[in-house]
Amino acid sequence: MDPKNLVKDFVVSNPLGIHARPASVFVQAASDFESEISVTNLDSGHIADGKSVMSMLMLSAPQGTHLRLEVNGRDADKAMDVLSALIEGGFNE
Amino acid sequence: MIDNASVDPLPAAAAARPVEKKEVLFHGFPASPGICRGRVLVFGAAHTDFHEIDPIPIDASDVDAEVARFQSAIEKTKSEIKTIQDRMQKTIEKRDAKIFDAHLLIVGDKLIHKEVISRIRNGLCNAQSSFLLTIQKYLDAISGTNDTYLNERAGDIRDIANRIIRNLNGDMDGGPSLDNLPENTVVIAHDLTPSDTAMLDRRNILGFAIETGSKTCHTSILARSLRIPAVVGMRNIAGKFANGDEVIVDGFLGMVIRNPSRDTLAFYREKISRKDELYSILQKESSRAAETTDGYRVKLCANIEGADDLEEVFRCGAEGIGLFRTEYLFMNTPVAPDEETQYNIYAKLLRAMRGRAVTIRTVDLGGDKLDFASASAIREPNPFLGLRAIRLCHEKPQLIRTQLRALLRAGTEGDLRIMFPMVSSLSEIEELLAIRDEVMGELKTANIPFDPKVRIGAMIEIPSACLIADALAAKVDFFSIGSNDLVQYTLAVDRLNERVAYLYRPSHPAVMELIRLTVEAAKKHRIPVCVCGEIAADPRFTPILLGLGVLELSMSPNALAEVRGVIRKTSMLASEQLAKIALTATDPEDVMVLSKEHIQSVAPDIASILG
Repeated sequence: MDPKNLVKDFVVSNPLGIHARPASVFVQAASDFESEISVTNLDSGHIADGKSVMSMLMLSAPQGTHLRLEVNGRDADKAMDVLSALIEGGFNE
Repeated sequence: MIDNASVDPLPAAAAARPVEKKEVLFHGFPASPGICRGRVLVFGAAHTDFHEIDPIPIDASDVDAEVARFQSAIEKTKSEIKTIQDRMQKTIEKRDAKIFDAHLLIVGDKLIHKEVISRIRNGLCNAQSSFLLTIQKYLDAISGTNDTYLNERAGDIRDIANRIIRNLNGDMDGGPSLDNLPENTVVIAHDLTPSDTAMLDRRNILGFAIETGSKTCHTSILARSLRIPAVVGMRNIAGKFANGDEVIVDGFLGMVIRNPSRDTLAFYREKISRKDELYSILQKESSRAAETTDGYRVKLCANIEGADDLEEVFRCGAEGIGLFRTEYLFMNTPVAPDEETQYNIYAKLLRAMRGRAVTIRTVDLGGDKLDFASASAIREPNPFLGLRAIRLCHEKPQLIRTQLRALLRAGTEGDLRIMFPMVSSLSEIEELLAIRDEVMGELKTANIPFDPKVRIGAMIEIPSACLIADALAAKVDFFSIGSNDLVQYTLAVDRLNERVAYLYRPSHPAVMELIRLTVEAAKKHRIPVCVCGEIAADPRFTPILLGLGVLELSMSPNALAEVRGVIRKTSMLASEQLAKIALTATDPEDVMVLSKEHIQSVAPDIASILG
């Protein structure tokens, strides 16, 4: 499959925002894919590496934050499916 | 006496001829009685200050070794966290052990690794400073946000960073870790967290000395339950001890002696052997009744923290458990243990005690200590006067309800009594009894077996409770006087604050009067009253408490032998005289001196081992 670049925007819905637990759930899921995964806090402009929990924590994204998820690689479709479901589902909280 | 400031390290050159290393005394507060002699293990090398980090340069030829050292410290840290996670999984639900997954991800974070390794390779810094400089950058960024939740998580990251640094340091010394100590070890540390003590190698530890003591008493309680000496509140000991130093820990006087001289060693050797001898004599009496020479029977019970201590309880001849603390079930876990988990622990304890009385105290923690509540916890300026223990029943009603359900169900397995801590007013007891009734109603409706006759008691540890003891006694089935908090609240002294600790006087006539009032109310309403604080374990207080009418004492199992010994040698007549003096003394120290003289005259062997 050819590498693909997918972009999708979200609003953080879970009440506590992206704290340690959601961040680690996300990073664990993201690490299963070979695609590069980045998450941008559209309110602050901060960009995080979706495979680093420290980086994700520094997004500082409480409830209501606008996020952009960008996925780039050969398994981009699958990664986008799984990760957007996670964000939209409030990180299973 | 030698001051801490005059520490004089032995010059390396002196090693040429055998010279006795200089003896140095360090003072702290006695936290657990006993004396031991052992070799130092400095744990955590002192508290890491993340703000003062100087890059420590290395040679280009050492780069690969430093990188390898960093990587192996990371691996070791991961396996430590996994061990803790495994242990915690036994007490908490699997889903909630997730927080440790977050810890593991932070330890394994590739961004941090990349940056640390680049600092080592390109900046030619050693592993410790490279790591600290990196982590500090992240901590600064997180602390700079206004997100309270993230700010709290900075604490997690600091903990993890300390663990990594510890492993980096340990690796450099080739030093051992807490779960695998060499024989005869004395652990010296800035602080020990509950997760540190959970992994402690209990076979080889002889004693503790820690720098903190104002924050938490966890280490002291642990030391007392392990029956090993401990000294807390030792200021500025960081860097004054090296692994392998010979030390004596005197848990009676609150003192650590580094490189004890021949005279000091002889003095302590004599003291230790006298103590051992006496203990073996006293232990043989463990089945004898604790009865005064004029025929008053005293009930002696044990305070315990976990079900592991049961063997001790039986060996010391305790008639029951006067205080089972449940805090450890709730600490260091991201969620409260569920009803089933709690039920199993309580039921197992009751069955093991085979019909002997077991008093279980409902959780006595501040909201700030409950990890799983931390998302909503507010840092209180005065946690001792704040939202804690039964006061949480409004904000976290489920906490007390779940515990009560588990307790009432377990009540069918033995003789259970439930004790509520921090009672300050009558309405609180009324509310708690109403909750108890509701919980019993629920259990009944659901057809779940429980014991409706479980006795309910109030812990008397706030002066207001003593002053309304008459009204409280009409509502509850027993009293238990928690002397530690009662002294602190009566005298407005935080005994772990070394600047005012001298005012912490359990024999203060005001405290004595409050105990007398409580006993009087209990007698009037024919309910039992027990003392379960530290004064119950101090033989010097034994006659005074008897004289005040206290005929039930609960203490850590290791103190029982001495207290029993004093009771068997003393009379109620003499005890009442001492109590009378205690109630009116102008100097609280006077009655302690008199009591010690009394013990000296009736039981000189026991007097000789008192601090």
